[in-house]
Amino acid sequence: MSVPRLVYSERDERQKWLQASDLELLEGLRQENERALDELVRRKTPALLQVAYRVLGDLEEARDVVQVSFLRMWEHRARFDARWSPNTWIYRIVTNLSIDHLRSRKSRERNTEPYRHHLRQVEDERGFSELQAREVAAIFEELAAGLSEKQRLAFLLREVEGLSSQEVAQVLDCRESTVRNHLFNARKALQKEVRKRYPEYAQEGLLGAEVAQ
Amino acid sequence: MATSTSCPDWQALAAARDRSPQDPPGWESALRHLDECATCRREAVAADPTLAFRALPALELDVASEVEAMRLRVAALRGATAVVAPRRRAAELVARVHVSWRLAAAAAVAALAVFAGGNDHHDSTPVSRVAAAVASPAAQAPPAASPALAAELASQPVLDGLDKPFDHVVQWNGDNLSVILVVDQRLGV
Repeated sequence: MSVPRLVYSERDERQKWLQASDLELLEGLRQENERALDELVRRKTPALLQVAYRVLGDLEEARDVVQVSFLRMWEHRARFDARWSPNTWIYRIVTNLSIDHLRSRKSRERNTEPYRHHLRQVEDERGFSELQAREVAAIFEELAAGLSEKQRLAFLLREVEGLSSQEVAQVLDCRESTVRNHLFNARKALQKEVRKRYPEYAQEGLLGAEVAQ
Repeated sequence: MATSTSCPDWQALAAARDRSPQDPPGWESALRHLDECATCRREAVAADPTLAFRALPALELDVASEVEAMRLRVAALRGATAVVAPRRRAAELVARVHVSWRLAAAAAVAALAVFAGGNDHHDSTPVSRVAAAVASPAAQAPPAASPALAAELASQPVLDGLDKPFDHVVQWNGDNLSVILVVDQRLGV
């Protein structure tokens, strides 16, 4: 008998993908490597849930969309072009599916219902800063529901998630100048609505001041 | 509120952004400053309330459990899709079955090490006949090449969950025999 030889180690395999770049993970996906998919799920789930949640305003629906997004990445793995940023490709899938989901949702009342009343009810139960932060997020969800899909996505990806205009243009499949126009119009609409519905925040800048603490 | 001398003029910047879709010069550096300067946040948000949304709180998630749940959901969805779309998945399924069969062969050899207790190829018990056949060069061929063996393996699974990832696979090569040990993570080693 020869000396035992380690032929395969799941731990080593996981470790290998743990250290891989996003691009290498997508290359691994193209080679049908399921460990690469596992690592992609581990790495991207929190961020993608955030984005889908911001679009949909419902965590369970966001989970559904992200789940299908990973499946889509696996099924369309051969279509990934390595010249693209991996995040651009991934965000594009998630945002497109989120929008599809939004369109198929029968009722949007739940999304457009003002949050202020509910938030005031829980004010006593939580610390003020935490409440303020939650309220800012709730206000964004409420007001963003009034934007067009493109405006909402452009604003979300550029201003909230911090993608560059070029990346947003790739995700939305449009020109950078179009993204800038969407952002411009989204900002105008949001400013108008904040000043109209929440003048106390807009006038005194409280909206951001407390969140920063 | 007092502002540092290096703080941007948020009123001027916001006014410039209100006039044009193009970001004014210095806007990116002003944003970087805003992310780190709590003192001018109030002024910035007063000038442009949408700047508050840059600091939206993250979702409160139990990241580890969300990730594990998502991994299972994706795996389940992949399995379900494979069932409902057999034609499209045919090639993938064939490949998977082929891999599973090879793993079954490996496990059968491990069974030989356990049950047969050596390299006695002449024992006529079913287990050792299967193991000996698997260890032979002919066993490296796909199941179609030896349907009787494939049927015997399929009728008597030697290891549960053969298409699941294994923690370790260790191989000993002898003169007449190779022993492959598959160590599942459930064994806790």
